[in-house]
Amino acid sequence: MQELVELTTGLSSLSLWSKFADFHGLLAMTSLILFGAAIVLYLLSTRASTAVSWLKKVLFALFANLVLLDIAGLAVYIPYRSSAGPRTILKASQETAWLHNIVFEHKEFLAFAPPILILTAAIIVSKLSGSFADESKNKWLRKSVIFSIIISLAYVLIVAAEAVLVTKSAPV
Amino acid sequence: MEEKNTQDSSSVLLAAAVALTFFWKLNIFKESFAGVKNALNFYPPVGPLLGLFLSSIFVYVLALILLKFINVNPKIAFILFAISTILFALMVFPPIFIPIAELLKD
Repeated sequence: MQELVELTTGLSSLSLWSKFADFHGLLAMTSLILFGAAIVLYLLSTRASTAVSWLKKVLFALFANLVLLDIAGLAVYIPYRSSAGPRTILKASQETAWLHNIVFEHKEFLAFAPPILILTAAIIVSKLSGSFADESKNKWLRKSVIFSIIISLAYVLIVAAEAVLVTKSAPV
Repeated sequence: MEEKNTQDSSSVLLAAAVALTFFWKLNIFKESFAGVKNALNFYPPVGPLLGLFLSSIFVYVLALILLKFINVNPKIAFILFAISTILFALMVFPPIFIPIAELLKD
């Protein structure tokens, strides 16, 4: 019981921005489930007729998730950039300045690509619909879809790893 | 109809390639020229990043509309898309784009 009280007190004492940053992380984790589903549905798309329809739905859901993730990321940038925020703390020391100048800068720019790539994949699946399953007719467009999903997943993982690296030194 | 959908899909790939390429080029210009940085920094709490994102989204939407009228082979569209995607990750990496931005300053 004591632990439960401690947990409740601890959680309620966190700042609103800190909770929002956690929500931002939650959105990133949710995207991993959708990425997994999209890859499985892509592999099933030539075998099960309903897989293409589900793939389209999952890709649009993943796009919405990634857009929300980027919006939350841009919002968290406000406390990060504030005068006494993590950016100031990191840049103040030569030992930690690289975490902002290289790692964080790369993270914020790289995050632009995943929603664009997944929307591209979603539009292609949506346009081709039933014929998306035809491997001989749509070989290159099918390749584009799986390429978009895998590269987006890789970029999300890189961005997440970079975020962990930065927030370990200077949390929001 | 099927051919039109294939053509539309190929142009969607090109639109993504255009948006990603525009993003990293604008980012280099932002680092090179104070005027570009100031123009993108219309909401100071977030900084020029917001302007960079919104400008690139605008270019993406514009490319989606305009490239609809271009007929491109799906294989060529995929190759251009793949190159742009990989190039994007490299060109937004500070150790690569900062020296280029420094060169443009002069």
